[in-house]
Amino acid sequence: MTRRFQGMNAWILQRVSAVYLALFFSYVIYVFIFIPPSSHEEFKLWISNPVMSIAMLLFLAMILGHAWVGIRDVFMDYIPSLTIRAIALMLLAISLFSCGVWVIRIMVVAII
Amino acid sequence: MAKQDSRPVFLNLLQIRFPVTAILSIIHRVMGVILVVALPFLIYLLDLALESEAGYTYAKELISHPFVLFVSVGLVWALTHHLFAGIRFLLLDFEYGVEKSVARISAYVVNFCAVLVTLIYLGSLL
Repeated sequence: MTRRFQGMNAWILQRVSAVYLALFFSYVIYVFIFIPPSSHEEFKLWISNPVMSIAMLLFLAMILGHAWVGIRDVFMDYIPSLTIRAIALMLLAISLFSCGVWVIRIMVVAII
Repeated sequence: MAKQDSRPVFLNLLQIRFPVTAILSIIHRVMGVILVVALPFLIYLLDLALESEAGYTYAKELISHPFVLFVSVGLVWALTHHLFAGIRFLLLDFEYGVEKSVARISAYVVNFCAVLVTLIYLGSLL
């Protein structure tokens, strides 16, 4: 991207992730309403299925990206001080990164 | 913001009349923030449910606790509103429904449908 379209990557990431999140949430809600897993074993099998695992990890990347762009926009709108904004963004990045590591750990434990 | 701005500022939120599209927009933003805040708690539930048989049972107990159920109603509203309003924004990006009259109607529809789904969910709990 050239300097003239600095917000473009974030804008596209927000839209693309939005579409994936909408599809993924629709699927998960459908499963939980119509064919809910009824035991720990069944739930684990559903999540650790290869296709679902990949969909989950992609979901993780998409939701963290979507959250990053969204909260970043909120911070840019309401935190005028660049110093405080940078600190807030850093805390946000650390929080989202931690969530990512946590879910990857959960998934790895579930799969092996 | 380089120069001192002497133009008058009127920001009394209690006196500004917001059009329905603005109300939809601010709810969409607030719900987005709420969903991000809820994320760690949802990951915690996923962790419990996948970790062990006992964890699964505990997660089930947690999500049937009255307080958690109460919070879940709010989260259902947050998710459905954010989702419906998000779809509306995507359609606007592709220039569907940009006319003022249509945009106002779709904003009413989104706000209404999100509340409707939430009420149906609430009804399913009772």
